Amino acid sequence: MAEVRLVNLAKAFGPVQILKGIDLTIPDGEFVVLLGPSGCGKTTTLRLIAGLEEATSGEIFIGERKVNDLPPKERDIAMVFQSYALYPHMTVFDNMAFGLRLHGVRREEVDRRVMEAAEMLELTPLLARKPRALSGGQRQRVAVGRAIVRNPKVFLMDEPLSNLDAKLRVQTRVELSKLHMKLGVTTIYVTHDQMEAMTLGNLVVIMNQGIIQQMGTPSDVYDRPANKFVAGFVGSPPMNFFPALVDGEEELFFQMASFRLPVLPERCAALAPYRGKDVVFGIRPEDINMGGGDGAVHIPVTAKVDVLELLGAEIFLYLSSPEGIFVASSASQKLLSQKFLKLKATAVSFIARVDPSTPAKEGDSVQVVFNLGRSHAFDADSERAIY
Amino acid sequence: MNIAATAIPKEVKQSQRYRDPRPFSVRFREHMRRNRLAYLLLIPAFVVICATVIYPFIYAFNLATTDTNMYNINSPTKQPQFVGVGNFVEIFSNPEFYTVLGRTILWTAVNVICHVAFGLWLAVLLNRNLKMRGLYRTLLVLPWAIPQLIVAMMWKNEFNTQYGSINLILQSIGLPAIPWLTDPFWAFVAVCITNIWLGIPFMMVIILGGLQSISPEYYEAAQIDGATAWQQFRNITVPFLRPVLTPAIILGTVWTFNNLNIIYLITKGGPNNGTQILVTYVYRAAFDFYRYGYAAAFSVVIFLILLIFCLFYIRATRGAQEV
Ligand SMILES: Nc1ncnc2c1ncn2[C@@H]1O[C@H](COP(=O)(O)OP(=O)(O)OP(=O)(O)O)[C@@H](O)[C@H]1O
Ligand SMILES: [Mg+2]
Repeated sequence: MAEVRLVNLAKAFGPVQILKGIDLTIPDGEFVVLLGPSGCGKTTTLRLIAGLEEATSGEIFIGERKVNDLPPKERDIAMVFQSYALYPHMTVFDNMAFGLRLHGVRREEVDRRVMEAAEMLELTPLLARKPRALSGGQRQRVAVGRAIVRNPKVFLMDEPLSNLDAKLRVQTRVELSKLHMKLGVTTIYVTHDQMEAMTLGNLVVIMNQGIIQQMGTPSDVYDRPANKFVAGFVGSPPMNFFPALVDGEEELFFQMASFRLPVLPERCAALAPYRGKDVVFGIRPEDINMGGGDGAVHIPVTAKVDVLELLGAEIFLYLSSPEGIFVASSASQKLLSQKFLKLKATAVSFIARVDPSTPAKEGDSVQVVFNLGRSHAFDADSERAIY
Repeated sequence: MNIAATAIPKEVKQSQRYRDPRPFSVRFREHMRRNRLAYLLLIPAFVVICATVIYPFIYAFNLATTDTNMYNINSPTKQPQFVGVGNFVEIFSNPEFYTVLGRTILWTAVNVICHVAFGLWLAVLLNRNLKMRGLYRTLLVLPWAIPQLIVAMMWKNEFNTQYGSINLILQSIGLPAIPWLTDPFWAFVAVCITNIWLGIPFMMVIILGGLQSISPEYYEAAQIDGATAWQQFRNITVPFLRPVLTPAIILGTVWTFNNLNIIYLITKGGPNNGTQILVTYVYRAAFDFYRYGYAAAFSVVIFLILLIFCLFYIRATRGAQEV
């Protein structure tokens, strides 16, 4: 077991910079999920740690050792590939024993360790089979088994569940979680599935375009996203964003294209520097509720239901606010940016996630209230979270 | 399979296998009526195969049991006589047959082993990320694109004792000239070199195709497991290549075993029959000595040898093919 530390790690393929300076410390025994959209460099990061790819610059430490110049086998890691890469001509037993045999482990010891891992993963009845004769889920378990018999310091897993069907994926997710608790080996798990990331990881690292956007517990990244990318990437359906103008004299408002919302008193200090400037107002679909509101803080907003998706336990409402006439207060009128003026004419679409008992139909006009305590605001240029 | 067969109760099994109670003639007519178009479409291919494969095959077997030769094949007075297994008795009682058979096996083994070894070596090299890989590949496939006649002529000149470039090179570094085409041993080496050179591209292309279908993840997994380059080759490359190598080796063996062209064009089986293999021997029996029946019997023997080889080879490698 060991801590994994990446220091200013960069990787370029030819002229293309893929990883742009990654700094990451993964504590010993932690289960860390690397989450990010396709092509953001997750696999590349993992392959650098494994030693399958050479870093352009920066350092990789596993435990106390700098491993940049060590070949994969000396890094004491095990990797589970997305395609599993099980050797088709070897039985399950041989697949799991292969690495041990190469390391010259004694025969009885090989048998013992393989049997132990097989027991743990419920593979014992399958040991004599070839991978061809296994189901997807069984193959996945063999791939995991091959990794754990080696007793490595670090597990690297690259989307190990992406070839499984939805139900099996959930089941295997739970099993991987249990396995980690039992073994306590530092695990770096790559996925682009945020459900997997949120449920599996003690820590989630969100990447985009070769840069770490945020690292934190699942609730950190969900409730306190560091920037607009994280806010929009985590959560499904994604957070709603509204271009807004911070308006007002003493009390501040978010002025949207066709409606305005008050800024809660405790947020005013953070937003004061943005008075008269563009920001992005963000709110998650579950923080938009149907109803009239109390009129003071929870000002109802009228919107039209474009599409209604019933998902059993909840309903997604695809709403659009009507085009409205927008009047800014005289104080900020002269500060209005061109960008905002352009936006004001368009209707804004957003999604609400509501109770299935909601009596709404497509085409209806409904009243919704935004739960402002759970709203977010982002700098329009840097996209960093203001709060 | 056995388990399933015993587990199913007899009544169930019988009821599951439907048997048409009508007589064969009725069923046959119905079958023909339903599949008339299919059979119609098959007829041209069937006719061509009959004319080019099946008829010559039967004809050769028939010929092998006669003493047909130049004097009686078209003669108004003499008829070829049926001799039964006479030709075969003659073949197997001739000590030269065993010498030639031994040489043929040596020739085939040397050639096929070298084809596979060099082909594998070049394919592994070409499968790396080389610069100008396309150029190398084209150059290496070139021998294949040249007509065999030209290849044979070219090499025959290279083997010339006085002005062939091989001897010139040997002499320039102070070694004696080799009597390539006048000494039986060196003549055999010469035809082997030529045919090896000629056969490598085929194996290389086949193996390269096989190599390119191996996902790099297997090698990466093995690297992480700690396999050396040799262990990766043994445990990944070889098993993954087996399904493409098996048919390639069978084909290569049959072709080489029956390769008349190169030997005939370079040495004509000489000097002193030192490069004679079974097919050149048959060719000589048929077209130099005009003993058609004898040559046909000889061909049948060659066919049976190759048939046995193929059966053994396929059986020996079937387990591996299941991958
Ligand atoms: N060997 C390579 N040569 C050139 N470019 C590469 C190479 N490997 C990866 N890339 C590029 O690097 C970028 C990041 O790739 P990477 O495989 O790390 O993405 P990822 O985050 O794992 O995506 P996914 O979720 O789709 O697996 C991609 O744009 C990819 O095209
Ligand atoms: Mg990837």
